[in-house]
Amino acid sequence: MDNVRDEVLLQAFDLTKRFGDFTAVDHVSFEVRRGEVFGLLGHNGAGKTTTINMLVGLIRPTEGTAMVSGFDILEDPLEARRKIGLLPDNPGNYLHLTARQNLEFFAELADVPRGVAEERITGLLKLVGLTEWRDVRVETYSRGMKQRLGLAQSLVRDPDVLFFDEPTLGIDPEGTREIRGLIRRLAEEQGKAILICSHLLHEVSRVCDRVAIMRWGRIVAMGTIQELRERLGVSDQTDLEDIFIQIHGEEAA
Amino acid sequence: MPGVLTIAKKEFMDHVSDHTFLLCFATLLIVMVGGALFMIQLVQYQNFITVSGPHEVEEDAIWKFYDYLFTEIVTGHLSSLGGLLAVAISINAIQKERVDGSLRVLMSYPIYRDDLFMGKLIGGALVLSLVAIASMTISFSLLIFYLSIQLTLDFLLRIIVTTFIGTMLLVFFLCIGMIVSSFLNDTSSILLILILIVAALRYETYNVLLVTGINLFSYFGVRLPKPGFYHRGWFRQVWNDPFYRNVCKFSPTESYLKLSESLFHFGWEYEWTPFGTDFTLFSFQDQLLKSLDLVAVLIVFTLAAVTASYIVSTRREL
Repeated sequence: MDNVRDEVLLQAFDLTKRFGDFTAVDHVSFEVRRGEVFGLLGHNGAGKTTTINMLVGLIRPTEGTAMVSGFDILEDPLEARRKIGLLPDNPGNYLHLTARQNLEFFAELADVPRGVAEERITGLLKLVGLTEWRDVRVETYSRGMKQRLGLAQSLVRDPDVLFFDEPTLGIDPEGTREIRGLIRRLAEEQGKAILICSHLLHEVSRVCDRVAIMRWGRIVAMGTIQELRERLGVSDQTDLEDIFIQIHGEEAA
Repeated sequence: MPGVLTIAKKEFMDHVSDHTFLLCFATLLIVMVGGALFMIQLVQYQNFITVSGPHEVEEDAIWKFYDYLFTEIVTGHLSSLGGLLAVAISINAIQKERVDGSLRVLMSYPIYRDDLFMGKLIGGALVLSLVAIASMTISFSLLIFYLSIQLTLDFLLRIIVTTFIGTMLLVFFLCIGMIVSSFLNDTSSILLILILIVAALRYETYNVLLVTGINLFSYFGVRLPKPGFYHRGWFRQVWNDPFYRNVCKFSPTESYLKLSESLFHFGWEYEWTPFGTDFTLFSFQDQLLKSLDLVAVLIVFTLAAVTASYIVSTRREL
């Protein structure tokens, strides 16, 4: 079981993205193992979303590459994308469709066989608590419900690796707690490798096993929260927010 | 290929259930039906005068000599209002999905960008075919019914070719809309630029600007010669304008209008012969062969627009 848990599902090698003279992401490398929740932290404009966009194939890296479940995102982009699920900050549901229609469309797009898709969609709607709302148009949903549907959408192709970009942005505390619980269950019970981008530090500290702190496109610190405390030589009570500020202070100096 | 069909199917369903699309389509139909009914009344009145007059004109056949009956009301509106509708569809295809965030999700799925482009193009083209076929069928049905036009194969072929080429023109606008939507992020700017493009491709726009300019100068006491009568259709002076001859004929919209006018130009009225009044009638085949250059202009423009939008949509980071 430990061998399975040690399996690396996502590896980024020197990922770099330049837009003209501006370097948005600068030689970023990390890995995420099966069943691990990895947090990518940073202020707005640190390069978190650009990193995710490169990993899911939306933009091409200027340098470097990444492996998703053993597939190179540049050499086997389609195979790599079969293994990933994306939940952006704006869940991107089709508002004029119902939850079921949304999931059916994405399942068809991912080439999931019809019989398997039906069963999976029923299970996912139950998982995210939208069974009773499955035939209601998404435009009537609350922000939290849309986000939960987005979560189901990201799971419809049964991916190995999940990317969540600000998954609880704009959601009330109760909804945030639900999503956090779902993320932990996906990692622990289903063995998904999960990468979360967020600037909500207390949220990340509750759900992530390891974190990487980004500043101006570069990773400036990486490890478990305890490892970061040890690196800074601070007490065990120091929270992630203080660690983040201290590391940023060090880098600025 | 399954990805293309899935996207095309959804694209088609999205458009036909979209309120903006339905509103634009309803407006197009109302204008075309209203215009057709007005023209029917005019021709029925002319028919009454002519058959009561000195010339021997086959009763109920006067419609043949009013080609603007078809061009002004049917094809004219399809090229202008239909063009705007195509533009609205193109904004929904790319820009709306980008703003809603669904494009980002869509492109994280295992599909090539080519598939995404083809799906959106096929879905949009199907909707535009539906628009062209429905609006043409309704307008022509009214004309045929009220003017007692006999539906011959010759007449039917003229309708089919005009509808097909009209759909091609709308696909051209769809592709232009997809190109502009790929470069700009602001919906209002995209809409404004596309409306300007649709207007710039029509000869009337220049005429209106010219007349407005001349009137403005005359207000300040500067008298400039006014251009000749520029009404399109029966009088056809429009085609003698040097600006039209040298520049506008390369516009796909003008090519379509001139082609449809040629296809619905049934013959010359009152040709005098030693044996009395006669008519020269043109068959569909004659008229199509005479207008192959216009068909070529439309095909070239549509293919160029499809290619350009393909390159932009698949190479550019959205």
